[in-house]
Amino acid sequence: MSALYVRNMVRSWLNDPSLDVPFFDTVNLEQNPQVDTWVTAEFETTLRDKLSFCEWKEEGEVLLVFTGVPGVGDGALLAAAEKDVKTLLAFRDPTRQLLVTAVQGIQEYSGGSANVGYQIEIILDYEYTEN
Amino acid sequence: MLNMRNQWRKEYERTLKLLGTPATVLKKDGSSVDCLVGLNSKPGDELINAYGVNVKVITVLVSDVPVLEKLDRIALDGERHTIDDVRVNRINDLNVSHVCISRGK
Repeated sequence: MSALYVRNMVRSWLNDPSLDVPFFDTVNLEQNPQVDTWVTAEFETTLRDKLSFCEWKEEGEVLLVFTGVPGVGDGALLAAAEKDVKTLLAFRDPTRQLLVTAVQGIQEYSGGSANVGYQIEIILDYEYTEN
Repeated sequence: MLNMRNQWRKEYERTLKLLGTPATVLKKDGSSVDCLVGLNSKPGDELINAYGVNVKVITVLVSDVPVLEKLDRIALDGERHTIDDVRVNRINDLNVSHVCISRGK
């Protein structure tokens, strides 16, 4: 359960028009995207630590799940995902409370096959300072 | 019975075309076919256990779509279902329909 600040900031990044893959929020929302390629995000907290009387540090992961056309291989989806993640890493939180610290390797999310579509996962590590 | 198989096949196809649900089959090569399909959205426990509660069994006539494979899709009721498994339904030695299993949208 990442903080609302983290979620809102990441969602605003993912909705940025400079990204090619459209974002659909699926956290407690019913979605039925009619586009072939799309991305959604899930949020996990791994650590929450008190830094001072009124300051907390939260560490966690943003799980970006990219969905593409089934049955056509992995090239197109991986290219689109890698391009957008590279763009996303250039974004900065103007208040500097949220910082993306690492990008983990690409994982198969639909097991190399497809469920709703062919899916891969890219995890962003983040640090968030709450004050 | 073998000499009746074409008649049974016609009856089978006629039934599905009378009672079927409008759908669009989306092939991996980008082509598509509009047709009527059989939809069983209340499958048995075995399928639910294997594929999950959203599993759907969709029957597509071979006369509409001669070749249908895993990872082709079927657009139905505004949702696109990716085919997870395809089995052939036969009357004697005639292939009459594809029975497609989807995990849901």
